[in-house]
Amino acid sequence: MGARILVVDDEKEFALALSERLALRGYQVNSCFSGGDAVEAVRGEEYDVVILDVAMPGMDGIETMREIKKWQPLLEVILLSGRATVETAIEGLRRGAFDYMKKPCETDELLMKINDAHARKAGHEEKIRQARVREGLPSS
Amino acid sequence: MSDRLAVIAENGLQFFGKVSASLSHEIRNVLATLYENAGLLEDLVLMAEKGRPLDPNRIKDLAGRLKAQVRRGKEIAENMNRFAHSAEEPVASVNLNELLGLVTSLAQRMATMRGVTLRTENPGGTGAVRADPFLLENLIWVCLDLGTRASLQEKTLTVVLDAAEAGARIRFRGFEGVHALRQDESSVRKLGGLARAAGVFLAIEEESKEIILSIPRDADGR
Repeated sequence: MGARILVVDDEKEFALALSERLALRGYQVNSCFSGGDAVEAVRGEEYDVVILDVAMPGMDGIETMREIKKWQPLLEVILLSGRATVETAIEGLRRGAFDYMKKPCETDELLMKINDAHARKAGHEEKIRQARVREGLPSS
Repeated sequence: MSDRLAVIAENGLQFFGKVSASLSHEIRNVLATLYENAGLLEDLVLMAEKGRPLDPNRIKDLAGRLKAQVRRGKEIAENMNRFAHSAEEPVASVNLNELLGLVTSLAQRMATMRGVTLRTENPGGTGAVRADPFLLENLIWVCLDLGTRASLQEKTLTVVLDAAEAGARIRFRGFEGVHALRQDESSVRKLGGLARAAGVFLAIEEESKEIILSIPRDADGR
């Protein structure tokens, strides 16, 4: 089963096209166009990777990441930045983003990062599962 | 150093940098959208080659999306070009209607990011004056920056151009109150310096809750 991906960007045309391309590659994809909607989506459904624009009106990417990680701490976030400088991306990495990319991003590079992010999340989940087994705890 | 050059050194470069950064961000968004839609078209064609039916309406729709982004990019490039050329002449004949349209367009992204709607009103006239176009743009930008950070009625900042024989007035309306604006000392000082250098009269009106720029017909501030 392909990774469950949420694409979040206020550039609607961009988010929809990217989502469709990912879906054609076998991922399960949803998209939304604001930080607030992303938080709602993550509250209602489980995701593996969130592709998140940094600069959005209202709740920006960094704040959105903080909020969605409250609901699903293990999900991985790949930040997309339209800025030429990397200060915001570095700030995002410090706060727990898996990686960042500058727009426009090469498809192959993005796919590689998505797969790496998914693998890391699966690895964390496996470690948690094994720890529960060792401690005799029920799986969540 | 002349008053104009001192003001440009202090504010103009920062203004130029902010506008350039905002426009380059917009261009990246256009390119990213073009890239993904072109990629989607390529994906669909590759799948058609492998036997999946290709709906002509889908291709038509994608072509329309690509063209819309090209038009958006063209508009950004035209604004960049007009903005860059405006710094060439210290004094020129200025069509305030056009200049206001350009600056509000350049400030659109800043306003959107702050959740503010920018509205322009022109009751009539082009507002033809002789002035320093770049300083005027900088002055209007600072008003929009201050205005979109302020507390606004219905989150809308309205910019009104009143053209008259003796010159023109640009009014920034929609503030809940102007007291807080005055407290932003750094912006008010910046506005004052820019207005003086541009030969423009600046007023922050308590009663009508407006920032008003009065631009004489010959606003050569040098």
